[in-house]
Amino acid sequence: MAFLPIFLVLYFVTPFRFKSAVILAGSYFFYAWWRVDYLALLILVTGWSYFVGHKIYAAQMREDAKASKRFCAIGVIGNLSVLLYFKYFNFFVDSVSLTFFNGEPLSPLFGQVILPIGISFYVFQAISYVVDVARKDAPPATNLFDFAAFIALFPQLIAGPVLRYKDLADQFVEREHSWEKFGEGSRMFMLGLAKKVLIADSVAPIADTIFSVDMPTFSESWLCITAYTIQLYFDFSGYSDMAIGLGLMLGFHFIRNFQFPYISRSITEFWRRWHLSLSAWLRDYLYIPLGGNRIGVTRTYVNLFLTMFLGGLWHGANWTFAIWGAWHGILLGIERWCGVSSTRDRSILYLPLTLVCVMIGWVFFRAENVPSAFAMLSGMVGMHGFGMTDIVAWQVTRFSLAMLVVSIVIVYLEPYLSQSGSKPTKGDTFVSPEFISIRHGLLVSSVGVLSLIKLTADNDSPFLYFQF
Amino acid sequence: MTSTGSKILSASMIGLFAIGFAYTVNFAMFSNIDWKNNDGTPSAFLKGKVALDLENAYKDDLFFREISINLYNVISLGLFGEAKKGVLVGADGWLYSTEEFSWTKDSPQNLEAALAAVENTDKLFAEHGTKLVVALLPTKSEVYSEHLGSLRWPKVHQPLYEQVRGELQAHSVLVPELRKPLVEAKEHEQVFLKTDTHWTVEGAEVVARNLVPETLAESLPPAELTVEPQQKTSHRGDLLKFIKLGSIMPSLSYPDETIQPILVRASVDDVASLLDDGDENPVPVALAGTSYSANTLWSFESHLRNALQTDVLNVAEEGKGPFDPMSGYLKKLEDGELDYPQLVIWEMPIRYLDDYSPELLQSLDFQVD
Repeated sequence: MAFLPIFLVLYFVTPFRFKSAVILAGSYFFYAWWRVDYLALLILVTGWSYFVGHKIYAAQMREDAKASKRFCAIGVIGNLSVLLYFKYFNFFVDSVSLTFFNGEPLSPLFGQVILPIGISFYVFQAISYVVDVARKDAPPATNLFDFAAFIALFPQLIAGPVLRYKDLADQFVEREHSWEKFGEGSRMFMLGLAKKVLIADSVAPIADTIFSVDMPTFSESWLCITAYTIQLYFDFSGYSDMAIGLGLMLGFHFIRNFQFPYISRSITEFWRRWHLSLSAWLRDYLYIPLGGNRIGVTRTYVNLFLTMFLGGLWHGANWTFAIWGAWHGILLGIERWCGVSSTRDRSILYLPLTLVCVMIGWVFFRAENVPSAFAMLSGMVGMHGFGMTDIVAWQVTRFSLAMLVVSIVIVYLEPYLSQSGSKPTKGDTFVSPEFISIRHGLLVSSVGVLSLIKLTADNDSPFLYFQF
Repeated sequence: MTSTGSKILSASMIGLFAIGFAYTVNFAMFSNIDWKNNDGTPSAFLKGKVALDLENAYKDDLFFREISINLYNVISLGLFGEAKKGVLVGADGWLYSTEEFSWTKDSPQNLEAALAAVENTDKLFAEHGTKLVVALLPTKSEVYSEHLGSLRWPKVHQPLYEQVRGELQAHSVLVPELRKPLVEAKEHEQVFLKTDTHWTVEGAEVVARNLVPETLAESLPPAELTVEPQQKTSHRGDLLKFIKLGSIMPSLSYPDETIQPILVRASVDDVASLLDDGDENPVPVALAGTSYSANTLWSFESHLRNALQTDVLNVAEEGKGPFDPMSGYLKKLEDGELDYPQLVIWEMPIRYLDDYSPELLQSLDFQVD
């Protein structure tokens, strides 16, 4: 309510050549609002990547391939070290303590490290820049303000989509600002807000309640994981839509991050529809460097598994995320072995099968720890009884249930309502303005206002993907 | 060419931004900020505490916050017959606190720790010749289960009153049966308020009359008492704070309830002892507990004086549950600020017993093992 109007006024009254500086100042202010001290880390990662990018370029100019590779490795290791320390140090210390010291704290010197908000996203963007320059996929940034603004771009700084410099470099040099873009940006922003506030937040209490139960029954477990499946999609895609919408208002075209993931008929297809910017990143900067499918059948399966396993760990320093990643790695391996492709149509019968596999994965994704995840899975096969217990029943409101039903209908109507088509993408489609009818404009505006009212009434509503 | 739909959306967005901008300017110029987290140090600024205080003040002052909450409540109550977190809507105009329904995976160990804390407190008082009586209050959901409507009170709570009493009595703690007299009394008078978590003045009286065994009451020094009935007062139940409707759809709103408190005082000669200023005749009975005892509207302290025909020192506190006030009272006794009385009444709604973790109870200086 306060930041955006002031920022946009400043942004639009500033001449184009200073707009990156305004974006940078706004983004740093936005980040510092959480913690001023951790802004230093964001600046450090930015400065480091900019410096290394130029070193790589200088080596390329000298045609010194070895030096170019060396600087690339140094740049990536530097950025990864920041991520490893701030995201995984606590996990490492706790795991060592649990394995060797019965969970006793190792030493007061190993204090709890605070996870800087958005670190996974901006470090991945910084890595993609260093690698792109080394691969000559992108020129090194010539303007530090443009580059710093790219790394810190506030609409997506906290929870993605994961952007790549090569996709945005030209847009920093030249981009169009138009009412079409502003209107489409407003539409996406309001719809994103509605997804988050009206749907995700409304069904979240069901998942939260049942995940806090020791031994959920069959009906509780399925209700719970259905609610979480909906919550996660509407929460995360809502945030992505808001980020893309804000980007459009500023004249940027961001990568599309979701494309109706729950209509997928295979896990392979699911990853062409879910968190597209991350899938594309993992493909280009992990799977392909590992050798992809170029060095033998066995190695292809290993690479696939490793990519998904590490992709799982990227989401959080917890074994539950590692298992979630491994689960998807195994499923992708099986589908590859069976010759499943994302482009070939499969029978609709595969849709529920795929969805169940995805939901099993979400159990690990959401559970606090591995035993809790297995307790939920046991519930899903009826090992704790079938009916709904009275401890849970009073907490499941009619409002949440109604919103759950509405959201399921939306999930399966969305592809037919969308003007952008329902075909899966390879993560490189960008959002462009669409024709908006009067009725659609009025409807979305009303939904936006309604979302703002609910957000105010709820008061506190954090986004799920902020934790990553 | 820009479509009309796009223009509508742009205009809506700019309208919202303009409202936000105007509000922000107004906030910056006129708002009073409660600096709860900001202690004025550079560290508070660096760690985002200044921002947190600003953000909280910004949210609290938001001019459409009240109407948003009211509108949301109207939709929730009107369409779904439900209230926001904190309250459950029963039938016939009855509301219940979710605390009476809540049971988590920590509840069993919390309950065990709470019982140990009560048993150990009883021993502590016994060492000083003080008798402890626990006024274990049943839940409103149990006493008025017929108004629950479609709500199902979890089975796990149903045997709890007897279990807790049995467990404490097995350790020689005096815990009189209060559920039965309350259930019997409700045939003639209302013992809990419909829209409040608390009991009525009549409910408090029923408990006061049935709390202390006659032999124990007779051993207390009598005091001359004056009884002063108070004016009838209109009361807005505390559970209605969760269902604020403002002036939208008044047909959905719940009516106020009427309360007539009483005031029973010890005679003038005994006023000095009310202060318990360390003379040789301390107040013989102390009452520790929650808002059920602390709030004078319910008149529990007065009813106790009447029932026991002696003076009562009330050390109960509002909004702190049963353990904090007892912990504070024990500290005062230990420090010699107050003398040990003959009898301590510890009023304790059963719904609180599974809320305190063992660690929390230990931090309040209760022994939990």
